[in-house]
Order: sequence, then C-alpha cells, then structure tokens
Amino acid sequence: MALDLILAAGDHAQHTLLDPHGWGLVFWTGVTFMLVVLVLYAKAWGPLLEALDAREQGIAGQRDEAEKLRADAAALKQRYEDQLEGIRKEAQAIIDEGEADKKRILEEAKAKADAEAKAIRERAERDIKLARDRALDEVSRQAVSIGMSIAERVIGAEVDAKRHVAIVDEVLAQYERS
Amino acid sequence: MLLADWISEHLTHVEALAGLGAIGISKHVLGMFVAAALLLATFIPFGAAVKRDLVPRGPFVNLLEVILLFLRDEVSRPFLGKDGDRFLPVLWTFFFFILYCNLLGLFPMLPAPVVGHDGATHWSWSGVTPTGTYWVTGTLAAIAFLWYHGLGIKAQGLVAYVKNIVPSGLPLVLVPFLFVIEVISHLIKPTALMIRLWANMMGGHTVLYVIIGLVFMFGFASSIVVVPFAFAIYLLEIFVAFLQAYVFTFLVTVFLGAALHPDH
Repeated sequence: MALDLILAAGDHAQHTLLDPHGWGLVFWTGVTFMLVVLVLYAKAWGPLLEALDAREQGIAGQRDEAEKLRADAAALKQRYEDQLEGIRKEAQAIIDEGEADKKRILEEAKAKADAEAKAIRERAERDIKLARDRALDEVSRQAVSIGMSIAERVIGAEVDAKRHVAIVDEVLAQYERS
Repeated sequence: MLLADWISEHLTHVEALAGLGAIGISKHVLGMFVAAALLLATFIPFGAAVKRDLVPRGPFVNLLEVILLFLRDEVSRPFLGKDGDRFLPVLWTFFFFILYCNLLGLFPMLPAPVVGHDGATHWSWSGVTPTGTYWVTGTLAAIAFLWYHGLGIKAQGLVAYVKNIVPSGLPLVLVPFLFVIEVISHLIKPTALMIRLWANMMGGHTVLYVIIGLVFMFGFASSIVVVPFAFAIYLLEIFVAFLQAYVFTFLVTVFLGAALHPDH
C-alpha cells in the first residue's frame, strides 16, 4: 500500500516536475543564495575571519612573549642562584674565620692563663721559699741568741767579738747541716 | 484528495502563488526566504559578537564557532590549505544555507500556502523543505559548479585549465576519449550534488508522510506503533539534514581543490 502511494507520488510528480515555475525557483534560489553570501560576508564571515586572524596572531604573540618571559625568568633565577651561592660561600668563609678566631682567642687566652698561673705559682713558690728562709734565718738567729745567752750564762765569760762571730757561724753551720 | 496526491502535491508542487509570472513566489521560495531570514538572524548577531569580543563567550558563539572551525580545519584546509581560507565564506554559506533549508522541513508549525487543483490557495501547516525540490538543489549545484570552475580558470588560465582536464603524459590517441570522459565526469559531479541532496530530503519526507499516513489508513489505534516509528525516522532526518549539508559542502570543497590544483 505504502509502495503504491510512493509510486503514485512519483506519477504525479511527472507532470509537476516540468513546471515552468521551476525556473522561477531557480531564479529565487540564485538571488537568495547570492544575497545571503554577500550579507553574511559583510556581517558575519568577514568579521569572523578577521577575529580568527587577530586571535591567531594574538595567541602567537602571547606565546612568543611568554617564551621570552620564561627565558628572562630562567636567566634571573640563574643569576639569583649564582648570587645566593656566592653569599653562601661568603657566609661560610665568615663562619670559618669566626671559628678560627675563636680557636685562636681560646688558645691565646689559655696560653696567657697558663703563663699567669705559672708566674703566680712561681712567685708563690719564691715567696714561700723566701718566707721559709726568713723564718729559718730568724729561727737560727733566735737559736744563736738563745745559745749565746745560754753559753754566756753557762760559761760566764765574755767572749770577744771575732770569736763570737766565729762561734756563731760554727753553730749556724752545724745547725744548717743538721 | 487521495493521500498520495496530497503527498506529491506537498513535496513537488512548485507553482507560484502570487503573480510575477514565472518568477512568482511559490511555497518553496517562501521557505527559502524564511531559511535565509533565519540564517541572517543567526549570523548577523554572531558576527557582531565576534567583532565585539575577540574571545568567544557563551554557548551561542561557541557552538557556531565549533561548526565553522570544523568546516575550516577538517574540510577546507585539508583540500585547499591555509590559503583556501578565503573561500570559506562561500563554503560556510553553502553549509548553513542548505542546513537551514533542510531543517526547515522538520518544523511542521511553519504555515505554507499551497495552491490546490481547484486553483484556490490552502494553508498547509506541514512546513516546506526548499531543498526537497531539485530546482533548488540544482541551482545550488550549478552555482557551486560555476564557482569552482571559475576559480580554477582564474587560478590557472583558461587554456591551461582546459588542457588540465585530461591528465598529462597519456598516449595521444587516448586524449580525445579521456577528454570526453572527463567532461562528462565534470558534468556528472554537480548533477550528483543536485540529486543526492534533493533525493535525501525528498525521500526522508516521503517516508515520514507515508508512515504518518498509515494512521489515516489503519485508524488512530495504529498511532501507538506508527508515531514512535515516525519519531525515530524524524530523528534520523535531523541527522540527515546535517549530513547532507556537510556532504554537499565537503564535495564542493573537494571539487574546488581539484580545480585549483590539477596535479593533485
């Protein structure tokens, strides 16, 4: 049934397809299409092509600029890194110097302290020795004096000065030996 | 009126409605005017938006740009190169003009005046597909034919262009035969463009009408089966509307590429 319909449509088309009004359709199609091309060229396609071109150039320009900025940034980074490395080395040198100074100062202080301590000790020893010598001397004198006075008292006789000194020396020598 | 008569009337009748003799306004012309008006209504604001802002914003501009750039990058450039961008306005117009004409037939709410056999004008609410008549598709194919041959002749010169119709390096005896064959092939190309588009549009609509017509033949109960079926065909028709606009534009681009660069 449907096939009959299509065939019928075809049969019917036979006489309408040769319709001279078809040429009117040709005319209007041509005119409409041409007008649409012209109007759209002016109002849509032209601006679009220009915009696409501008966009392409804009993107290319931005890409080039971004590339340049990236290179600049890389160079700057390198420079800063170099600077940082220099600063780091400088700081290390300062630290090293400080360490050396500290060590030197400590050593100097220690040496000075040692020397002072040694001097103090030596002076003390000397003082001690002096004091002892003095004390001994005093003790000897006291002993001689005591001895003399004892001897004077025991012997009861005056002894002359020379003899006196000789006796004293002898006594002292004996005392020192002992 | 028989259903068959109604269908054939609707699909093929090109009689003019209002005066003007042979160039009177028929329903197909009216449909084409509507398509052209819609085309301008779509693309003039689009052009203004593109001009206003270099960055495409919003679904309207982006959707159209996707299609336009697809035609540029996937259709035009492979055959015409970057230099061929200057032909894009015509190719874009071909695509969208055909697409709008194709889709127009799928809007049944558009009123179309029809002159019946009784000579009186009836208003049909079934819409009209301007590309459903070969007068229109034939004219579009002829415009394309003149356009790409004209550009080929402009690019190569008339003598070289005619000479290049036959591939070089053939035995002399074969040249006349091949010349005839090539000329025929050049004539067949636009004819194929014409018939392909027309047959697809008209065939699709015929199928739709016949399927919907089954409701009238078998009663309204059959609409449970018929309408979903018609709906599926309808969806197919939407796809075909895009496909045929694309195929037409694609082939015109290929022919233009061949006319500009005969060595390829």
